[in-house]
Amino acid sequence: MTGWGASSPGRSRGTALPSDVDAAFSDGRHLDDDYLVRRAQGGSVAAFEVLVARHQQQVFRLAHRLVGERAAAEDVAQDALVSAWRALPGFRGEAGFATWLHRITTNAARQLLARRRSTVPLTGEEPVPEHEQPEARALTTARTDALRVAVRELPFEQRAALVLVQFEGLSYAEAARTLEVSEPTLRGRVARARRSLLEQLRGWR
Amino acid sequence: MTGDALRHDEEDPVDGAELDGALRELAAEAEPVPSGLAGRVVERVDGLAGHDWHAVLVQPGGRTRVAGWVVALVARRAAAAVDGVGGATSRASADGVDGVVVELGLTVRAGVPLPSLAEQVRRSVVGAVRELTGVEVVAVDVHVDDLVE
Repeated sequence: MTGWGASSPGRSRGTALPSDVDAAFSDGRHLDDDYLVRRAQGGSVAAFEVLVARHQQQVFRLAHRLVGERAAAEDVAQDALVSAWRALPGFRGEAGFATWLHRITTNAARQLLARRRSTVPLTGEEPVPEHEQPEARALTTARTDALRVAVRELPFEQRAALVLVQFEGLSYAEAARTLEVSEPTLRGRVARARRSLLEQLRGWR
Repeated sequence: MTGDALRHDEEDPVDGAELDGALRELAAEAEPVPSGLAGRVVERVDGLAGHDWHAVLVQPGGRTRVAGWVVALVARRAAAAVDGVGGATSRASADGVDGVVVELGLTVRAGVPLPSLAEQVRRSVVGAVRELTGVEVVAVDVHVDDLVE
């Protein structure tokens, strides 16, 4: 038997904000993250929308680097940003919104890959965009392709460490905090990842 | 930015520098965001904001309450897992006393016949929601929003 009940009113676009403030967000470029985060924490979907527009590139790029294919990366990016909305009330702002998103995105990627592993394996193959068809590919492009595959084949925790430090430009300390491990552990993972990639690199010569 | 600080003692400096160069090339590649990503996120967030209901399952040992957005999430994952579906958004509403109505927005891979895909998605969503939440789905409305190659 199933019954229904009303939970406490959810946060919604219309109720929490006067409409003039909502309108201001339609051109929210001048508003800083801290302000928008506070408004979003107060229930403003409009403020969150500006944050999403501002950070989606970073979130998608990290997701793509972590899961290796665009369709899966879109899922991860969506899940991460929706999780961010749900977790916002608990966000204290010590780390900065962008850093916090790194952690949420990494967790979303880890979860997706764990789910996939229990069902179907990642194909790991992406169609090559037409403008990048073989014809005039330089050797360096071939090397970049091989490196992309090698990065994708690293164990997840090594790949995450490498990507955060070497692609996203985080310091060891920041990356360690993002992955919630100690700094020596993080350094060890980056070193192991680099060792694997160097093996590959020797193979290209 | 990184470079030197990353190289470890056991790394050959020449190899290390070459790896850094190759990684920089890879990092510099353009990474266009899928069109509509932000919109789909906001739609889901709006959906969460609108899921202000829960289902109550009366069981022998007590009541189990399942939040509306949990039903929507289970439905979305089940839909997204169907072969041919590239992505999904979902909303669940408890319109009647008999069960919930699930609304799905799907991104579908081009070339997949839509009516049979929709049927498959319905079966999968109804089954997953029943099995995982105990809630009956009385209707699944499918909107095909987008095609991907």
